[in-house]
Amino acid sequence: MSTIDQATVTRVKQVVAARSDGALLSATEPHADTLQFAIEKAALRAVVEGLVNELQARFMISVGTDRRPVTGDFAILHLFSLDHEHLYVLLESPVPEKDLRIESITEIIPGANWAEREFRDAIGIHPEGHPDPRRLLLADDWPEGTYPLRRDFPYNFQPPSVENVRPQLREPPAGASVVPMGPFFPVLEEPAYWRLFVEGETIVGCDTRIFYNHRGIEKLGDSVLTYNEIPYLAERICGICGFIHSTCYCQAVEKAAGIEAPRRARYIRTIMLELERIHSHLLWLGIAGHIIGFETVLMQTWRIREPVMWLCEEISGNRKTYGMNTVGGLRRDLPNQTKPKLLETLAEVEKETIAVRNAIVGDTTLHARTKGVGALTNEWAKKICAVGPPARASGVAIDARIDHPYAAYDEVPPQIATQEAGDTWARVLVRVGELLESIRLVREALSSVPDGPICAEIKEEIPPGRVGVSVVEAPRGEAVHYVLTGGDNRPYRWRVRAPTYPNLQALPAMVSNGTIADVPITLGSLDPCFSCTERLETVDRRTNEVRVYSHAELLEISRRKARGGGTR
Amino acid sequence: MATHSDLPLLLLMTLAKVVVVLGVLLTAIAYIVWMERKVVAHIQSRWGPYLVGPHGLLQPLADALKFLFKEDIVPDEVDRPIFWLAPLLAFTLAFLSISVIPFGESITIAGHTIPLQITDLNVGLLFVLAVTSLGVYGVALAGWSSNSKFPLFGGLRSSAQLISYELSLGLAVVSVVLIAGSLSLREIVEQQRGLWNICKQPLGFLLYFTAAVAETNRTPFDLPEAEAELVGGYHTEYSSFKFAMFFMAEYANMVTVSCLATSLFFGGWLGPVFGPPLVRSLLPVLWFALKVLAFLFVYIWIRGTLPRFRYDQLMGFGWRVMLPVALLNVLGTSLIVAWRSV
Amino acid sequence: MLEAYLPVLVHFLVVLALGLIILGLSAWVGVKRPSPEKLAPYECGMPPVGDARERFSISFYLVGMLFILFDVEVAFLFPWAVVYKSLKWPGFLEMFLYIAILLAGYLYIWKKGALDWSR
Repeated sequence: MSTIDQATVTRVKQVVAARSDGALLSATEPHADTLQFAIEKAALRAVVEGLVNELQARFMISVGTDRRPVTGDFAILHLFSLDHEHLYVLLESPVPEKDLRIESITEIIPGANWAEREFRDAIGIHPEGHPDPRRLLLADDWPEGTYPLRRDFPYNFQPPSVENVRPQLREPPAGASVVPMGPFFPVLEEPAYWRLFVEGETIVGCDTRIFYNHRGIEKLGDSVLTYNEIPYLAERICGICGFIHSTCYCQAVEKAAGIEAPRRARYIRTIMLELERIHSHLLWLGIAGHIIGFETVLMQTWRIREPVMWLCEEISGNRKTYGMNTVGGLRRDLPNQTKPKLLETLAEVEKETIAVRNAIVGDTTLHARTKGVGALTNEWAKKICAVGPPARASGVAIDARIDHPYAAYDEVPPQIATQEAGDTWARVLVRVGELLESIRLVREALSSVPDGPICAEIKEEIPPGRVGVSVVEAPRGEAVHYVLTGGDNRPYRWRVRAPTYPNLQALPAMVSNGTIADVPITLGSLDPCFSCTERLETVDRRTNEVRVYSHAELLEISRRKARGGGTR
Repeated sequence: MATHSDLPLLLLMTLAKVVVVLGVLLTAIAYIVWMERKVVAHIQSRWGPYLVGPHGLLQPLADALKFLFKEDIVPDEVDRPIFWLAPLLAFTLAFLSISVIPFGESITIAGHTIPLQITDLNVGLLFVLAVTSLGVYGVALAGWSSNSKFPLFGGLRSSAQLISYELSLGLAVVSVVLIAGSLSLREIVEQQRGLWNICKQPLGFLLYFTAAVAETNRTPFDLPEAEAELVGGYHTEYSSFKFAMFFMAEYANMVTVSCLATSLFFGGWLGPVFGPPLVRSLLPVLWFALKVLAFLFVYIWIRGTLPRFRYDQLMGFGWRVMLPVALLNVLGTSLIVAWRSV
Repeated sequence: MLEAYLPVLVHFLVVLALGLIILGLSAWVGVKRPSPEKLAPYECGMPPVGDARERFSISFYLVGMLFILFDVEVAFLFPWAVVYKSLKWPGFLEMFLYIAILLAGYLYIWKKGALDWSR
């Protein structure tokens, strides 16, 4: 059980007050673990500097909000975490419409680079002194001056069609040549373009263009969907850790609205979250094997993983995208009769995972391919604000389950395992350790899951203007959801930060001075994302008849659909 | 010695043998691919091909037809003549080196004794080494002519890898020649009647086999085709049957080095012989085929159980470990041979 | 003597013909639907940057040169190995000196870092 030390709270207040030097507009405590300060923008940078230098605060994300309909101005919010003190610190600065500028903090926190570029793209507030003037998430063919997250921007905007737009990318330094990696690259299925600058086989630098697949999820969350529709969209943020995002969102709303999810719901959430970690880490292990040409590891770990997916299907009706979460708890209970099966499957997965671990730990070729490869130093991991296994493999002992306990983790706390080397091998060890720890956690949670309701009763409408910050330790690291409640039964602003967001920013440092051959496994060791389903089961509502579509039938349906016919 | 009147007969006989050998080789390649897919699948707890024909036995045929009907994309700005020449070169050379491999002793049909070998060159071993090392041109030219980055890097890497391991391969073979005193594969096999060379040259065999795996670009030395780094390596821009030709060349090379390993170290066609004359003359072919098959299985097995090396590790291993060890092996062997013959 | 090479020639011609037939057949029967994107060199789906025939590492040349040096050595070893049994100890001594000199050169290039690929 984590308790918040009041001395720390006082100290944070002191530091903020001292650094803001009279520019402090307000100091509130939306929750016991959240301190929010409104500061005039001129003093924001100084306060950030104080938080980072004096309190070792870790930057999580920035949120740009268009508050014009409410207060007539914009706002920039920087979210920090004091991990070991179990505190969130929110620094907010109003930005008037006539002067859309704010001092950049990237110089102090390199990890804020993307976050600041993002609010420049989405809201149009310019981070002054930012080293990179290029777009981050806005597509290259969108015209200048379109800020999709402003309130007056329609969610269904279609940009005019433009030809021959190219991403703005850096040219290689003299003497180096360009080797492209992605978006169509055999082992990295993610829509990202890495432009590697190489001299011979050595990498001397790189540039990147990501965010090809921007889906406008945040925009939909504050313009079209309602509180209870968003969990399903949140679940679709990621094909692997869907439950993590829906949980994280629900927790943020629950926190903002002051709703307490019942204990049983929190336990079941814990179980599902850990099951997701188990199958995600097994999936990752397989992909890592695939990247270094060890296909047998891929096939075997995915075989081991499969029963976990079946288990999820039995519990929720789906292998993935369970649709179980809702604000206030769960829609679907964990049937008690699945417990023995769960335990049995876990025992089998554990046995086979240990076998795989023993097989790979002693493999000298694997050591040769991963030791010292893609090293992330402890210092840079902190500066770039890395999270999850990459951070823990570099000796940064952060884990949202311990630092900001949620669901039932205060009652079933995980053991945190760190490594010091920071290389790919260390990340392998951290993940394999976590895999076994997750199995233990599911067992422990299963043995103490209480009876009771699975969803809190929500009697009144969620009041506007409340803030909720929630984190969930996804397999890839900490996911952050920030919710500012609004009217119309939907959030005014919903901000999602997936764990890969900070981790990817660490990549350039990890690959430089390495060889081309090490890039895929280095990138892979941050954990890419991939999922697919090739069959589906439907229940006919009229007859309650279960129908299983075969692969061929699905193919036929999709072909018919592609030709413009109906599906039924 | 054949006289002029024998020439047509010799040509006819050669042609017949060539057709048979090529037919067998092509079929063998098709089914090695099938075997590889099946064996690796079972190592990985999968089924492998099973839809086309019983146990997927017709899969190779389906693959060949598919390759044939695929679009043959020749990208703009490639060096066209060389782009066409490269797969042809790889294919031709890979299928040529089999001509000096003895599959068995000889067979007597209608009074003619036909040696089970396309031709017995007195420098057969040199011929195989020469032809297989020419194969590097196919790879290098493919990489160069494609006018694209990944093939260029893949081609360069592959060429460097091939020539690096060729040294150790050649040195390992020299040790066998020291013992045999001949370059004719038939004679080398004949000399192993008492004791197979593997017993005299265990280190030489290890060197040979390791170098051969690298020479044929197989796991764990399959870096030229390491998709994780270089997409398809030197054949990235190739499609349709031009791609298939590189593929076939790789498998033909696998067969050749396995045949060579069998002849040099494992007594070639030698084995227990019994029964009526026809069986007596065909049994050696069976022994030979079984030995080669065993080698091919090891190839596949390795692929199922080892990850890929990194390129610098591969080059380092070739130059810093394989080469000096092979040199010392030659010296050691010559010392022992000199001792014995005094 | 040369008759022994005749089958090699026959074999070569047959294989060459086979290769040409297959290539021709596949070029003839395969579908043809070219498009500018399809005919562009593969660069992971991005428009190509710079010239494909780029500068590459000097190490490749170095390996090429070293290969020629050592391959000539191996080529010398073959005739020596064939007649070795009749040469006896003098043959051993001569080749020992030869290989020793080469080994010295080998150690020299190792010390110079020529075998250090990831330099």
